[in-house]
Amino acid sequence: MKIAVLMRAVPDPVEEFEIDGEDLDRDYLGFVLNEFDDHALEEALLLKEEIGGTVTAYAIGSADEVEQMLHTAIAKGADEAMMIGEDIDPLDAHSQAAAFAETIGPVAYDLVLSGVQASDELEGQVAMLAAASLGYPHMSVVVSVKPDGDGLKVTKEYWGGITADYRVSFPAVLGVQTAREAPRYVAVARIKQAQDSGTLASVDMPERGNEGRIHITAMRLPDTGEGAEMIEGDEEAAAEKVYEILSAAGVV
Amino acid sequence: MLASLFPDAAEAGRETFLGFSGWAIAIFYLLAAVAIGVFLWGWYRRIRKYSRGRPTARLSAKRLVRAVGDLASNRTIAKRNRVVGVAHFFVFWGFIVLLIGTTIIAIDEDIVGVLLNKPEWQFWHGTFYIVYSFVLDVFGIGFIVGLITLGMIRRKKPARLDYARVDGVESDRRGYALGDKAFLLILLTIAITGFLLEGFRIAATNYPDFEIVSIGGWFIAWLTTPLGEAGNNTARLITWWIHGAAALAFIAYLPYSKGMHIIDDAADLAFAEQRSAAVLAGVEDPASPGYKSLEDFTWKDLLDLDSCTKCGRCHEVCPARATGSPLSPRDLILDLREHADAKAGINLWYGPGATPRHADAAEVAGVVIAGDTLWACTTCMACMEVCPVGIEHIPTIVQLRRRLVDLGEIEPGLQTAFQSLARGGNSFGKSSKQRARWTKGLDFKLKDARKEPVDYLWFVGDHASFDPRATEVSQAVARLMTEAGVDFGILYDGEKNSGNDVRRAGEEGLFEMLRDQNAEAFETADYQRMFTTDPHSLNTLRGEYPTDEDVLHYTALLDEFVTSGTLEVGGLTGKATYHDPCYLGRYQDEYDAPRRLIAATGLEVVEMGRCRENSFCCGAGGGRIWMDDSGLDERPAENRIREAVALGEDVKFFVVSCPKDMIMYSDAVKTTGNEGSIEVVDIAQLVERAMEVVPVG
Repeated sequence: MKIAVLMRAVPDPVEEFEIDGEDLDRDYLGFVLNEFDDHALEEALLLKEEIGGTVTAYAIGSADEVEQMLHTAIAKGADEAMMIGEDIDPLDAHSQAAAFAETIGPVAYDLVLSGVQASDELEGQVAMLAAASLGYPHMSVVVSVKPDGDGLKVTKEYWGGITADYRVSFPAVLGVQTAREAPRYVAVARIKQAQDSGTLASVDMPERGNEGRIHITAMRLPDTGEGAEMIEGDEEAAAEKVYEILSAAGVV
Repeated sequence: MLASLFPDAAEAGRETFLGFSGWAIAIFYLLAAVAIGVFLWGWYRRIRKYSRGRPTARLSAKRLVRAVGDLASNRTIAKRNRVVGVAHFFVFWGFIVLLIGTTIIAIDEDIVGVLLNKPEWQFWHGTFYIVYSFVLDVFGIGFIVGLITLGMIRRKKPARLDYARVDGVESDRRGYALGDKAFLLILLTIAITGFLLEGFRIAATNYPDFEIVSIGGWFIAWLTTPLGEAGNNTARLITWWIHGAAALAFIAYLPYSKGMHIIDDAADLAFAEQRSAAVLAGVEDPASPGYKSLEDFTWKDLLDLDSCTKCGRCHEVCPARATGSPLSPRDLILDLREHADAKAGINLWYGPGATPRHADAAEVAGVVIAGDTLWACTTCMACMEVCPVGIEHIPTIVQLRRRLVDLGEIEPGLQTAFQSLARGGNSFGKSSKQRARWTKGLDFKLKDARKEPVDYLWFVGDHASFDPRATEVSQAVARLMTEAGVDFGILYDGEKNSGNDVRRAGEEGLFEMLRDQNAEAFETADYQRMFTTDPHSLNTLRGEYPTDEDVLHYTALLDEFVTSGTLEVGGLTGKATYHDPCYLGRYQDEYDAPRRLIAATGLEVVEMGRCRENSFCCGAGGGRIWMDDSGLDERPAENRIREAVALGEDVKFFVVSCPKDMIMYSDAVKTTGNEGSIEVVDIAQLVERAMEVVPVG
């Protein structure tokens, strides 16, 4: 089985964000793998361990942003890793999906996994749009993917924690929310070996498809609120104070 | 001289096979040959096992000299256990002298007398015989006294000799306990029958006057007089065979029992390196780090396993064991030994219901030794410090952890910490730009050692930079150094976690990365010397960094300023106890500067039972600070606070000199409900308080 994992680099939330015009000031940002994509990769590796096949990791972005995460993917067990494009402006979901679809389309993967969303877009569209471009069926908010006969048993999560199992046949695109197991740790020495082995491939950014439909016109940091109020006193006094606050707010 | 004392001295001597038929002598030599054969086969297998270990250079004059002293004095056994030490000293020297005595007879009788057939060269008679008899009797009595003392200590069933496992794995170790008894009893049998034999012989040979120097035998002979000459002679023959059989059985039994410690432990001490935990060996093959299987163990590691006498001292001092984790250093070593023996085809009996020894396990980490057990170690080094025979537990644990890290089988908290460290150089998941944020609480600015030259570069350390409980101490240190007129600076965001604990948690690649990043930052700075607030960083900076950094702990610097009068302190009253951080004390051998500082503030230092080399770990080391402690019965820090509180109500301060201690213990005073009774305070904070009360000028 041939599995593709679509990965995105997102700004590292450890750094303090600063805004420059309509976007984050990207000069001072560090980039890390989108957490959901990390789960997609983990699920792909688990499937490969169970039923064999190959895993190829794809990531859009410049070397600075994605090289490390692709080397990490190889160190964890991916067979190939591919960098798409370089020195590009941030893309919206349609452009990302188009870039992925154009790059992976000719390979005819059995299964394409990606994170259900990325922390810098929160739209959850990339996997879906890529599926549409590829003409593959798609399922989102996936919390478990297990081999099942000649297909997969996919668990999807609904509102309120309700889950449902689906049987999915190949090919398919899945938007992964969580893998069955927490993403594995890979030793730094192994990442370094992957780096030294130089197996990273790169392709040019394909012609962008639906570019330019969404434009950011302004970006703001959250307003700094007033400091939290510590409620002092024993349970009785504290409860009374809480009631007062809630009454004043018109909640009770 | 002796001839004038003893008229019979000219004929002094004895016949080894007095009254034996040729057949009896032949049977004895046949049995002796069998015993020696079994002995040699046992040792051949053991030595073959060690020789399969990876090479490690351990032969040095320094180690040999130290080992000779350790062995001759038995000081490593007497350490913190005087009675056992003295008793073992008696057994040790008794054994050696009796062994030499037996060897002398063998040389005189078998080599000179039989093989060379030169009766005129035989020397075991006359004056030599009289001196020999006296010396052997004296040491023989000491031998028996020592054995009986050790047996009695064993009968009291001290907790350290309880072989029950701590990890809940079903096991049967009755074989171990039986072996201990057998070993003592067989030695005691040899010794006692030796004296009986001597007594019967003296009585049966009409009390030659020179035999009075055989004080033990003479006494027995006096007791057995009523048996008459014939009776004594019969008793002598019977005892001779019991004595001979016991001695031969002992020889044969040696390499299959704890008797092997007689040879293994002398060797293990001679090759032991106490610094092997402080300066860990690197990874030889990055493609396969750590110990995957027994083939990766060095010969010293394998020798360590056989050297364990199960004395239980490591078991007793281990903070992981004391607080209900699945790790006991003793069990770790014994499990590995049983595994190594099984792999070498040496199948000993451990008890009727003993569990399988993983004879066909290809992996050690996670299979022979469970992952949880390996992660439980705080690398406090109490086990290695207390081990009387030079076993190096921690390097082996780290090698096994390296394998687990390579497999990705790591504790979740550790994984988060490693990922943060790889990203930002700190375990707090913070941006490195925030590293020097704590300096904003000062009313002066610290120099950036990368931008301007300084005398001292201060390596602050992770916890001292990020944890609010520890940054207060960092601020106190900054104020004190400024007050003392020290020209110092820090590296701001150029400093990364030193990697000491990362390395001990088995992530060698990450350690190398952090070390290189720091070393690069050191290159860009202009400084003369370095000091650090963190004992863990002190350890790795001193021994594991490429540059031979001259690093001081801040307490050493403060001690210098207080002693010289640069900082004037005094005026505090009351009592305080001091906790030796593992990495400052056991690892770096610094015990006195902190105590001098506390005393200088005016406080009286009251020692806890476990102090200095025997200090009890706070539970944070070796990466444990990042791991989950909720499975423990009690956190090590809580155990320690209870010990301090038990010193009495008048001990008001629990003084620390390590940022991790500040964090662990300020938590533990709360969780043990001792917030009102004892205050956790860093030495720097104490010194600051003691300066405030000193009238200025």
